[in-house]
Amino acid sequence: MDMTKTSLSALRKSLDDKQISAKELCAECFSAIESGEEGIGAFITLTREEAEKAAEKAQARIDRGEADFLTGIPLAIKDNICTDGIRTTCASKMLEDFVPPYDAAVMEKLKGQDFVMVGKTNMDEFAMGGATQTSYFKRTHNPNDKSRVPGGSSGGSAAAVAAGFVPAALGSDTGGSIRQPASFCGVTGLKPTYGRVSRYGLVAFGSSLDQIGPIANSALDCGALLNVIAGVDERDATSARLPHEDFTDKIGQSVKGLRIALPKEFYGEAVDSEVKEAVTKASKELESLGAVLVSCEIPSLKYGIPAYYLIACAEAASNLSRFDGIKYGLRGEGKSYGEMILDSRNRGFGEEVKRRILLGNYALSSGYYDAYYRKACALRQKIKAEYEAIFERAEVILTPTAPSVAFKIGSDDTDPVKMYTADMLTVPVNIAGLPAISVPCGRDKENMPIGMSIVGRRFDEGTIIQVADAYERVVG
Amino acid sequence: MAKIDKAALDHIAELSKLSFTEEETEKMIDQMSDIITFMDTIREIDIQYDDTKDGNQIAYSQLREDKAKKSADAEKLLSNAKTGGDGDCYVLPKMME
Repeated sequence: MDMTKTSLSALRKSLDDKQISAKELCAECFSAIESGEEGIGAFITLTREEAEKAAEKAQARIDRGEADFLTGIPLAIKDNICTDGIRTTCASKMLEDFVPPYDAAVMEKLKGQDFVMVGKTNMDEFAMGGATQTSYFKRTHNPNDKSRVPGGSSGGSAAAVAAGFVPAALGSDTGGSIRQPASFCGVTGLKPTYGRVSRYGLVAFGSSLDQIGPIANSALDCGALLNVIAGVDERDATSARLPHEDFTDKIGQSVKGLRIALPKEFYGEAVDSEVKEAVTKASKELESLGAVLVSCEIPSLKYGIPAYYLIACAEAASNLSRFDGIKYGLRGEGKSYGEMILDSRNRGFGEEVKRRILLGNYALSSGYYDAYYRKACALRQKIKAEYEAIFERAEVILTPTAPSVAFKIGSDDTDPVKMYTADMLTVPVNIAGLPAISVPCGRDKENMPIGMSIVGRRFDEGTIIQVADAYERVVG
Repeated sequence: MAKIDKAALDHIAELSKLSFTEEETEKMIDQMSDIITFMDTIREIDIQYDDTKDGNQIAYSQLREDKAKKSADAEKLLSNAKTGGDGDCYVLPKMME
């Protein structure tokens, strides 16, 4: 079975019609992983034994005629989402042996449907990176061209889907970490509105920016997965108090008259011409379906990267202060309490994580707080207002997901500033807390996938999924 | 001119509970200087943060009741500590002689 061409609803039907058992489907995934994983490196931990048990339990539920949408469906989970009894490393030496004593809220929801977890996926350490090259354990390779990066930080999840190891996976997105790897690997990735999915049990990076979301082979599958993981949770005070809705409801509805804004700053010089051409062509396809293209501006985009990195790193510096080697994580040595903490952190964190902690504490420190952190928060308000103004004239915004296709492994990872600027098209969406979906929209001359992002109004995931699905249908 | 000197790096390293060897310090000064130069682009815009707007829309009136609930299992929690454990305590180096 080619997992990249099989939708979740088709798998559901095959399981319900007894064309395949949950155990057989699980075995198919592990067989694909066995033959392909060595050159890809998508997983940090494979959970075959647990998966086989989960498949048995799922099958019993299917046999009783009580299957839910994900019963017996194999998925991969990013390794910063806590899994009760299964180690959760955040791709860091710091958490190499950490076994969470509880499940993240999204895991509770998935387990409630008796899904089958095949493993925990590789990522940039503590989700800090855009190439899945800063993991303590391994580098992940792009299934489209193994000499290239899969993007990041959810590169393991995107690669696992693109390689056909699993039909879908969960990632997390603080500044583009679902959408950019989806774009680089040629799959679909959805970052929900901030507050749509509970962050309880997601190891915190930038708490005002982080969201968990799906990576799959279609907009429909992303919507179907979001249906399962979304919802209010009293353990996450920022989770939105909204009634449950079906995010696939609008699929199939005409996009005639729907206004699609194209902010000119996202089509500037920093974006590769082949990427711009592909996304512009996609906008014309949508126009041919009756959508109306609207030109617009986000003048503050140029401040998006510094504002994002100041806010994200300030939050990360605070969040990561919990790693002191005492209750969990790498335990350092030292004669005194202070020495022990210092040694734990020096040895537990990688270089990029240290840089971001330093930047965060710099921005928060006395004498710099107003000039950096507070100013970044002011810019966040301005960027939000600029998006709101656009959404008065359009239902969605269409942009390239990343300025380029996936780059070669090792080509860009020595210059932090260069790496940060590569996030310029994704971070504004996190700053504004908006939902966005990255959809493949063609390939470049070297046959590498190009992705476009459809950004929606807050809590209007239904419309971006509708537009993405309409595009998928028209291009086949 | 470098944005960060050794004294400044030592200060933020202290705040961050991190320390660096001499070689690492040199490299980190260079990198942090580049990063902060880049962050300085936000200084050119004159804008004020409006703290009357709550960006994250936390529903303070709908927070859960402040009631004690069963917490995670102590044995499970302690199993992640690398100290060998002592009953239900974490073992630490002496804080004072």
